[in-house]
Parts: sequence; C-alpha cells; structure tokens
Amino acid sequence: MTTTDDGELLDYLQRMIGVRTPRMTALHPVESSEVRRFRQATLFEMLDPESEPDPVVVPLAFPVHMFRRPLNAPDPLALMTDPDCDGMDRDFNGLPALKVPMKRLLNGGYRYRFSKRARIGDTVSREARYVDIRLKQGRSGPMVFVEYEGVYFNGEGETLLSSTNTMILR
Amino acid sequence: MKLASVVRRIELEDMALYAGGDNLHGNAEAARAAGLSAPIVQGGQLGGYLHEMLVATFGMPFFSTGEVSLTFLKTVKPGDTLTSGGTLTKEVPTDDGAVVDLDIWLTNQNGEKVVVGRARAQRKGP
Repeated sequence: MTTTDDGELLDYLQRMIGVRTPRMTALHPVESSEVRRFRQATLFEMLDPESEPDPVVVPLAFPVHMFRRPLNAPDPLALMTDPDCDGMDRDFNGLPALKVPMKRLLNGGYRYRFSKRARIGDTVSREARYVDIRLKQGRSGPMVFVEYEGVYFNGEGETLLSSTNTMILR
Repeated sequence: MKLASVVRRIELEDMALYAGGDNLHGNAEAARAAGLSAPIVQGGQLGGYLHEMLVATFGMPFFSTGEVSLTFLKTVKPGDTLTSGGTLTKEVPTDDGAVVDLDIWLTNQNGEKVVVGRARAQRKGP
C-alpha cells in the first residue's frame, strides 16, 4: 500500500464514520430452543423460577446474536480461510461493507451496557453506526481499527443493551 | 467482596454451537486452513463466562444496570479450562447499596490471563 493509497483510504474511512443503519428487526423473536443452544454453548446455567412461562433466563448478550446473515450468504468467519476472499465485502452489524482490502480480522474487544432483560418471545431490533475508524501502522503492515455500535430494542422500543465493538483488520 | 467464580472446560462441540461449525471457531479443518493449530474460541463466548459470573454475583439487577468492557489477550482452544475472577477497584455508596467497579478476567489452566476487562454493577444491601 503506497502513501497515496493510504491517503485515499484515510479519506474513505473518514467518510464512513457516522454512517448508520435504520432500525432493523431480527428475523424471528427470542426463541426458547435457540436460547437453550446458546446457553449450552456458554454453559450459562441461571434459571429464574418466577419467570413465566419459561424459567430459562435469556443470557445477557443473546440479543446481539439474533441477527443472522441472510439465507445462503457465506459465513463471514469462513471468508478468512477462502483464498479468493479480499476482505472487501465484510460488514459489521448490517452497516455498509468497509471496502478495505484486508483479509484478516481480529476481535479487539467489546463494551456492553445492559438496560433491560430480554424475554422469550421478545421481538428484537437493532440500530448500528460506525463510531470511529482509524488506520494505523503495525509491525506487519497497515491495520484498520473499526469501532462500531449497536443498540438493541425490544418490541416496545425499550433499550435492551448497547454494544461497542472494536475489530482490527489487517 | 467475593465474586461467584466460574470454571469451565471448553469443548469443540460448545464452540461449534456458539459460532457455527464451518469456520475457524468451530471447525478444525477451517482452523488449519487459517494457519491455526486448532480452532479458537470466539470472543463473545468467552465473554459469556464473565457475564455469568457477574449475573451470579449481582443477580437480576445486572441485566438492567450492568456494564462490561473486555479485551482479548490470548487465544483459547478446545480442552482449555478457564476460571473467572475479579477484584473490587471502587465502591460508591448509594441509598440502597453501592455502585461497584471491578477488574475482571479469565485465566487458563496455566494461570495466564486470556481475557481482561472492567465491569460496573449496582450492589444491593450493606
């Protein structure tokens, strides 16, 4: 990547900061059997005997995982091992894909703020935006730090949680 | 203040349930194709163990008042055993308890910290 390329890339990344999605609704409500699979994966064992009709407690971060890729769309995680993948079609939280020619993706961490418990049967929607995008020089070449936010709502429009994730492209 | 520590042995089956079975987080072949010796646990799954510790410690109010910030330091692979921990860094009394800040972490079976972070919670009672 040349200096000129870096300048163009920087301009492009700057323009993407603040880009947001409309409020999008998950394909299906919080569903009991999916919650149980999620609980098995995370070995989350908490029950709430007073919770009707199902004592299963929906784990804190479950709403984040309700937004699936479209049917027949490739697994974005599998793209990393696809020799033809150039990283240009990767999107975050439904935001417009960042056209950055970097194939590798690292999870730089996340911040969650919880506001309300999700319940079985809840409809969940999300709004997302790019909070910050920075180009840095690493030992192995340029890296792009992408910070994006997701705010999750239940069917009554109440905020369930907000998340801020940092992903590193290289 | 004692936190409800969580100890978990990670199995590939759980990783595939969480992340899907056709990528480097849940499939050995995909991991090898990515240059990894084994699948690595997805960050959100690791966060889940810390979330469980916080919910077990602070109860249901954590669902409406809790905050968590995590950074991932080392990869975690099938067969690893993780233990959650934390320490109180700040406590501000309120009318019915306190707002507490914590440093939190997950260590592997070698005592290495694989995830570190901070949390804020409201604690009820004295």
